[in-house]
Amino acid sequence: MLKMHSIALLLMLLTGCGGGSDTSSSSQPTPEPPPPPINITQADAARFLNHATFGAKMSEIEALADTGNVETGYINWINAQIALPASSHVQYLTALEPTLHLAENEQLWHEHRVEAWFNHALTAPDQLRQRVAFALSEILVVSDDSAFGDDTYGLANYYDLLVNNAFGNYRNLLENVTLSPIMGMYLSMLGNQKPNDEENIRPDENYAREIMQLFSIGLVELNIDGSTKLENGKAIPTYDQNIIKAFAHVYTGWNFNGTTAQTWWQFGHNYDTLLPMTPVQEFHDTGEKFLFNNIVIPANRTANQDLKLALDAIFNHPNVAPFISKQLIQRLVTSNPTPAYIKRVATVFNDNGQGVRGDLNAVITAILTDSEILNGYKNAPKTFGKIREPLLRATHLWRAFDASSPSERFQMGYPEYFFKQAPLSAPHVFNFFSPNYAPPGVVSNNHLVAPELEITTENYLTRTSNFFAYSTFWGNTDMDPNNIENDRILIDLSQLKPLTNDTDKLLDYLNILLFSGSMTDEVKNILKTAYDETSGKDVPQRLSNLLFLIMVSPQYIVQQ
Amino acid sequence: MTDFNKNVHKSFNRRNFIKSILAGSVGLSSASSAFGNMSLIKSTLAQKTSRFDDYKALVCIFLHGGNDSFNMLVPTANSEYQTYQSIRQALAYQQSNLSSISPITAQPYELGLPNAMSPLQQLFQQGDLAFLANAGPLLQPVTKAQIQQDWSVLPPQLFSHNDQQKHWQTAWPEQTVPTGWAGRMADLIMDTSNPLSMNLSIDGSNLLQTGVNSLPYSVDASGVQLFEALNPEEPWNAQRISALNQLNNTNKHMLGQAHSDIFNRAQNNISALSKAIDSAPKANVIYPQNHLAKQLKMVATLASSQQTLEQPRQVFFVGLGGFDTHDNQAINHPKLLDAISSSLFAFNADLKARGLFDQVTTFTFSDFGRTLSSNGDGTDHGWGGHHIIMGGAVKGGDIYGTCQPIFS
Repeated sequence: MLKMHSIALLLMLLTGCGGGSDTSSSSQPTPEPPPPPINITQADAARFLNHATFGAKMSEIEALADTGNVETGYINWINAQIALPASSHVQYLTALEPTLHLAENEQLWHEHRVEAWFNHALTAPDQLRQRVAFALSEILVVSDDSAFGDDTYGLANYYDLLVNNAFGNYRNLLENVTLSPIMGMYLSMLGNQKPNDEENIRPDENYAREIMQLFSIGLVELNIDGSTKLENGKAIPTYDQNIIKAFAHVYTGWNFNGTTAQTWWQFGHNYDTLLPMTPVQEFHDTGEKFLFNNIVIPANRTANQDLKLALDAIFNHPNVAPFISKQLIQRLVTSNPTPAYIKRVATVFNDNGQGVRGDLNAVITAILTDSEILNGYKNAPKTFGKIREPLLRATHLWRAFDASSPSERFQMGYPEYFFKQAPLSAPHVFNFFSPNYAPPGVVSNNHLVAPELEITTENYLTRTSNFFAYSTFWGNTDMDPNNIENDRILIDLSQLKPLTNDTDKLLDYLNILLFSGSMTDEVKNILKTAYDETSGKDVPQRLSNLLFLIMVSPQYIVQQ
Repeated sequence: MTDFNKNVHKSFNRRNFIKSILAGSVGLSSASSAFGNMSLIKSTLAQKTSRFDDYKALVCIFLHGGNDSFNMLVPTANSEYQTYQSIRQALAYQQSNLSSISPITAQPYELGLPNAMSPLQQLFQQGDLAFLANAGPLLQPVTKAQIQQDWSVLPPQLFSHNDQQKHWQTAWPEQTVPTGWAGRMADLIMDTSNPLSMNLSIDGSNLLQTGVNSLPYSVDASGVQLFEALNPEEPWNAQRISALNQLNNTNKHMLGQAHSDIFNRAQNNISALSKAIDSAPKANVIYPQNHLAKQLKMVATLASSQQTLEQPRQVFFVGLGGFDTHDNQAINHPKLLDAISSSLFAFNADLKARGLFDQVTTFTFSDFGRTLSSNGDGTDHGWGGHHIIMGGAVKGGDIYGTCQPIFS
């Protein structure tokens, strides 16, 4: 049932916006025969997998290309992925901890959570789920750059929440995120109490503000295609300070799971970051609350009732579909989606075809199978696509070249040194970069955005480049095993070795694996010359040199 | 032309005019108009071939998250302190933990700094720094009554972190310009033959230093990262560098071009910057071990390299996070004030030791001030706030503007 529905959806998307070739067919008495199915080429498969996983590898490219045509191949792949069980980050840590033989005063740390993340990014079968969770972690931001940064299990549990809800309903996701004690601490809803005139205390506005500004509706009213609604030439704010205050009153009375009125102030005693927060009615404000769009929460309700009404109000705001759809497109596919692309996805967000709003399964399918993704690199070759985040460039290299480690673990403990980003480690709730970041020059002049470039400063571009030098020249399995530290992560060049004496074949292979078939003749010639110039060097050095050049080239860094 | 106009025309002195505009900017409301009119500066300076025969620098310290500066300048006299205490309750400093300051110009009530800031109290009293009271973004002077009647007289999205950060940096709250005032200044006065931007950031990308044609150059607090495998000073890298340059030069994707621009800037500047930093005199001052101090130490190093770098004008951007004190403010905020205070004290001494004290002016920015009332253990987003301005060019020991009358 689900599968049939998804195929219908895909066909709708594929035909709804292709070139308009079939718009007149409805008036003709005999329908034209359907166009012959388009077979998935290896380049198509690679492109699709680079959007939907942590990086295409050749075995997976070949498997997907073999599945036939785009109408069914992608959908079947997505549905198979959705059916896979979720790989848990908490479980990875639970299994890891006893093997480390930690001293009594030691505990798991940032580096272990990052290790869990790299392990799943590189090896988990549920790639799409993990990839979507990573996208969500850059929208529904919490960070270990905070007071609870040492709560490794709590943070991993938050990540699992995103993993588990990646194909669920956005309304449920929003509620789970809201009640997460990690989010509760990060944006101080945890412990937020009703007004107390005697002590001049009023409810904390932090979560009230950020859930709307960043997690759901944004600051100004939007059209379904993501453009800003205007009134007398001016944007229309979605809320004002009075609405923030009203929501701040809604989010009162929540604390760690199991907290009671008697234990409310006992932070250490109550502390539990694995179970959702629970309400303590005595600390909840029961007054009437005036939300946006004339929605009123009546007086004398429970904390739970208020929360559900408030989250329903937010979830049903018309902004959610374009606001969240656009950001998911930006995280997975392209920084500058056309309004039509946003509208198609937002329409599915509003109704998955069965009357359900917020179905992320349908939204993700719509994003990954849209005509724009299938044709964008051809129709808008100078603007379609996005700068690959450094973390995703690292996972791609390591997946494409079957990375392994003498330690049999992926101990990439502190990627932020090279990349200015690490999973759940943003400097603030606004993520590592803003979805609207536009550096001056060619991007800004053409009214485009390039969010990922906000962390690409001169200093970090250099460090990221150096990371790829370490991970190619000084990070491959051909190195002398006696000179390799146990925790290094090494690429395996075996798949390229049969091609080393045929530069054209070698570059054709890398064109599929790393460029999704987009390597131009000009680029190929530059790489060919560079490779042929190294003919005096040994094979691992020649291949490392070529891979390094590709990984730091702008043609690779832009994912199309 | 009337006599009156003639006279004005005659006595019009462009340089003084600019000076008066810039002087006027040190006020609550006029920052946007002053920095918005940068073209006036352009007309004077663009004609000069050798633009500057002296050195000057600005250092912006961005306090990310919104500093609760009402716990930085605190009323000390009994009656105003009582009001402060009754409003702030658990967040109020004890009266005995405040050190009085005596500004040259009297404020409506007596003020002090928390003991965590005693190094700054010393600098204030000896005239090295001043405070700017109660500053925040405005489009125009407005009264409370006008605001209550029509909120649209205010800058858009007050109380939102990123929007108010933008207002401070663009000084153009009513427009969604993607440029900051230091970037626009660089567009106009920078020596374009120098590959290194006069805007140097130790705190990453920022809007303040982003112009139409100029961007900040980003340096780490620990210095400049050198390229591995692409270092031009090692001859065996030449072929690889040449191939990568070709790839960067032939790339046609616009986002890729922007990436290439950053690569090219890094490649053009790393070597000179790294040498300048290495050859700069070492600090004779011991800095505290906090993030802000490390950045300021690098600023002092780069400022004393200005001749080597051929930068008669420099603007530095540094930052300190953690000011969004919705939670645990009574514990966390004093630590932040201590970090500011101890870092500035060391930086001040270092600049003096390097003979740069009169040429380098340091100031704070922050998203906003915070609510006076408490949410239990913290405060929420506000609007105006107090700021620090430090340097030999500052008429220190004074508070510019008026502290809010709410306490009196």
